[in-house]
Amino acid sequence: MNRNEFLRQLERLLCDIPENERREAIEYYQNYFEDAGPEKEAQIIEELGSPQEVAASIKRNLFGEDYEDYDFVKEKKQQNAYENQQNKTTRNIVLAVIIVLTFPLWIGILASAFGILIAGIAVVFAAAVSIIAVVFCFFVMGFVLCGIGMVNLFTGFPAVGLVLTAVGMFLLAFAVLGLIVVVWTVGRILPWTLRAVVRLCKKPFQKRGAVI
Amino acid sequence: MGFGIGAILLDAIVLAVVSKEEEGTYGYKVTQDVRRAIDISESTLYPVLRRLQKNEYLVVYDVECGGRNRRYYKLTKAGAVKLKEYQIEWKDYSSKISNLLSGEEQV
Repeated sequence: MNRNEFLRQLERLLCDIPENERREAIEYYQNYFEDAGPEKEAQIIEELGSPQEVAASIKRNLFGEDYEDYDFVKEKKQQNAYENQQNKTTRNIVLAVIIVLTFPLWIGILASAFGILIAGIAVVFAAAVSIIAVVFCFFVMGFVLCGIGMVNLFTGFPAVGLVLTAVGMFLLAFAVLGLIVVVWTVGRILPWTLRAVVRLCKKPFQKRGAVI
Repeated sequence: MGFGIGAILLDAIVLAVVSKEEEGTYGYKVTQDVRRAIDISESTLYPVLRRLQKNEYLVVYDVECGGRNRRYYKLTKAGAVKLKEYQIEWKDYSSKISNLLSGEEQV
């Protein structure tokens, strides 16, 4: 590399600093070569190192001490930031498109799940109500039959009275059994079911939270 | 030489070297003069000269020399004041360092 090439390269490397700074620097090094004389040209070029190093020393002075490989680092940072932004934007767009496109699908699934849940609760509720009603009926019927049986036993036909009383006792036994089942259900299974439903409802949100 | 030379010391050295020439001096000569004392690269001094010029400690003027212009640097009044300040500070600083290095007790 000769002096002119060196200066030309330096000028090109300084293209991103203010024009008066560039002119000043080029003039200085032009002067420097002229003052040193042509016989020292090669030696000076060797000692100056590369035009890149000289440009870096000039820019360090302009942009501050923490400047390091100004062009390269800055460009790289800008490019990375741009690519990051680009990637994020692309991802968000794809996500939005998927959500919109699959809207009929997941709204259906969501609605179905909700329907099944409500239906399940309704079935459990209905079953509970019917069992309680049946138990109540058994109690009423049991007492009524026992009453009629007792009356018949002493004032009518003792045989009919005995049968009626027996059936009434039978019904009462079932009613007591049913009551035990209902109490047990209300006391144990209902809270457990409620907790299970609550857990089930929480689960999707927890999972989503973990993914994001 | 292993001791690092910071920006301020470099400023002081360049001011001192330029101040020696009544009529001013030019970049190549400044570099040669400084290099007689300390080992610096040829690209070190341009930023220093530029900085001192911007701070108005040095003034620049062109002199016709053999059919071309040569850029000369000269101390301004502010530059002379600054140099005086550096000289006083250096005397104090260097004597303290010398005392420390030679292991003598400070009086």
